[in-house]
Amino acid sequence: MTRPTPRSLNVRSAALTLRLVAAAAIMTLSACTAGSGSHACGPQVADQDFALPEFSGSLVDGSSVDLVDYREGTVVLNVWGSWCAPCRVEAPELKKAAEALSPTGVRFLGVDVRDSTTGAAAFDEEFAIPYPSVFDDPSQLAADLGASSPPTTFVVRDGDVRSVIRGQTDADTIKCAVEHVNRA
Amino acid sequence: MSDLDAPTGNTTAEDAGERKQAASFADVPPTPMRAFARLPGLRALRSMRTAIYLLIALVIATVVPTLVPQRITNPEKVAEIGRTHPYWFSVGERLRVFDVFTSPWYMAIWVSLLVVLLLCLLPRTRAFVRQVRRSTATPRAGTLPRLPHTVEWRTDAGPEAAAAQVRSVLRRRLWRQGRANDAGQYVAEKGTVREAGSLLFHWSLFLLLTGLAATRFLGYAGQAAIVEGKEFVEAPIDYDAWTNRGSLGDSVHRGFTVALDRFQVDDPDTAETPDFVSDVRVIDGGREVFAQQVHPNVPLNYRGVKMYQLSFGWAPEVVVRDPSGKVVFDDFVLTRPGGPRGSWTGVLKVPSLEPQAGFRVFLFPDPQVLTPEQAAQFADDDLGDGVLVANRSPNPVAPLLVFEEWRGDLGLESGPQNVNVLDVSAMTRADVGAAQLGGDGFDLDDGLAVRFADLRHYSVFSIKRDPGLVLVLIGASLLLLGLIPALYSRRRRLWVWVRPDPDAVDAGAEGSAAATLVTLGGIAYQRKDAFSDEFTDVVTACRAAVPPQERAPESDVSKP
Repeated sequence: MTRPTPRSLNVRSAALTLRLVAAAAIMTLSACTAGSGSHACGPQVADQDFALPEFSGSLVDGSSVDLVDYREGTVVLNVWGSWCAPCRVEAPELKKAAEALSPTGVRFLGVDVRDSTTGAAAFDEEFAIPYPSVFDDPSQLAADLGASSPPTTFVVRDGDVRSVIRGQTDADTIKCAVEHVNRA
Repeated sequence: MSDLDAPTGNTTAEDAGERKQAASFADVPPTPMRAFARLPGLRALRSMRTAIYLLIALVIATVVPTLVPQRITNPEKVAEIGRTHPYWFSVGERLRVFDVFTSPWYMAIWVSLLVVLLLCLLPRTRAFVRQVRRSTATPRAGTLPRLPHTVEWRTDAGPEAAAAQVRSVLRRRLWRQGRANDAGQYVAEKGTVREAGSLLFHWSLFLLLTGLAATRFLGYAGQAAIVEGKEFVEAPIDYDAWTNRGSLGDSVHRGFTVALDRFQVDDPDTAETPDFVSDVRVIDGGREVFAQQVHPNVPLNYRGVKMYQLSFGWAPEVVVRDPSGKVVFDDFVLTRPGGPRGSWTGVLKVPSLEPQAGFRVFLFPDPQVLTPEQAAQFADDDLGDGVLVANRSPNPVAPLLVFEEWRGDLGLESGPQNVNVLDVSAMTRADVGAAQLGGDGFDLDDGLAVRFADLRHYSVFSIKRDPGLVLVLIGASLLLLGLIPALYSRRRRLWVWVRPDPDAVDAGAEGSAAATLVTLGGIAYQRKDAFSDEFTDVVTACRAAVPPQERAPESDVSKP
């Protein structure tokens, strides 16, 4: 009976192993990259689908808030902090987006994390932010939303979180995400 | 060739029977399953050599983060490389060397390693089970194989009685004995545990690596500082630093809340071994679950998440008012020890002012007033010789907050920055002041007023989730256990042949008593020298139980 000698078998196995491992690696790579970067509104945007978390607490100005009141229509939630540098950069863009979209019935709500009420109020005043913010201390609402760091922006439609924008964003991206969610 | 040498499935060179068996196995017509198992690629995948290559690759991959700064532990350094070496940075980004542990290629090595190990272990385990089952299988009748040790003697006992005696001797010596064939031949074996140990070793390696992978990909580790009276949510957003961010996203976090009600530290001057304790409450799903004291040696353990007391510090509450009297900053500032003259230092930023303001604060829990001569020796430190205080002890006797005011551009718009560092490159030092705890505060030259409103401790926790820990522990202990047989056990076999003496049967015609011929053969597959003594021992014991005939000279053909 003829069998390959151990030497040639080893060489062949090594080459085959290499190829198989490479194939496995490429498959893993492509599987991991397929999920991101394909959204029409840009690489930071991703579709989501989960219920808006239950939350009641207080706003930065001290008045109370319950997310039950944000279950209807389209709502943009922006997770931010007055200490967060990219949040300062995107603040004028959020203001612009809020002013452009509120006539169409879209409501905005900030989620201020790891902050002080004074710092947050000063921020809102500095940038003339036209919408209120939840004072989220500890960061329970942001955690339930799945925001890993500020800034993160969510688009909510009829009580369902439908879209997320991770990182610093701008008015056009927010408008695009809102249109995308409202169209769907 | 011997017919008695039953198939054994062992791997030593002496065992020609195994090779023969392998050859005959190869001749079996291929079933689909067998054809699949014999695909050349699969054969390469299930070689231990591949597993070792992958293990080496894993070690190399694990070394990379010690040479290249990682985004989770050192984002500023990574950003700096991006600015200074844009080309190499983009190459590194593509290869994911700045976040190795979350990179697909790192995960691919892990997955391949575990798969190859498994493909390696399954056939070996099957072969082992087959070997155990066949090692003492009833041999076909024939002559004994050629063996290193053989002894033969005649006895007056009947064949059945002699066989029973030999059996009981071997049983007492813990030999695994097979069933005899019609000719009175059978095989006994000892030391199968050696291969079992080797298998155990490799399976526990698999277990250990699975545990490590579980911890690496499902687990996480980070730190968080909580100020007394504040709460922390076990979610990525509330962490301050990471040592392992985990690879499978943020959904593996538990999201419960830990409230730090009080932090206590013993006075280092009076306590022999100063202890520090955090009084915490765990709140989950809106309900308080339990309260606990966390000591350095007593972590909090809830839903698989462990929180260890790591360190602590002072967090003064600082209130800043603008010239109109409006509060523009009111928060706890985390300070770290190691500032000038034993002070604790921290940073606060007030970006809403125009121009922006930043403060470096120096906390003296127990300040001592210096004479100008004493202060002169500190002229070169950050505070300068204009500040006439130094710290005496860590106890909050009459806490004093010294602050250095900077005005200008905080640089917040130019990208992420460390919250604990004041970037003064676009700022000028405006004023210096000091405030006592609870006092009226200090009015700065430009109209800002700073008040030192409160002083609390903050407590730093190291927070970990280690889902593979149990697997790693079990794997590591079994690994050692599996090594023991490899060191102390050796596999050896005995062939036993008890049959009526053919010569005596012939002589039976002359009327002499029936005699029995006993043959013992032995072979050791490891540590053969030691086996000579053991074989002699077994033979002596068997001869004591089945005494040799005295009248005839016995044949002792013990070969070297």
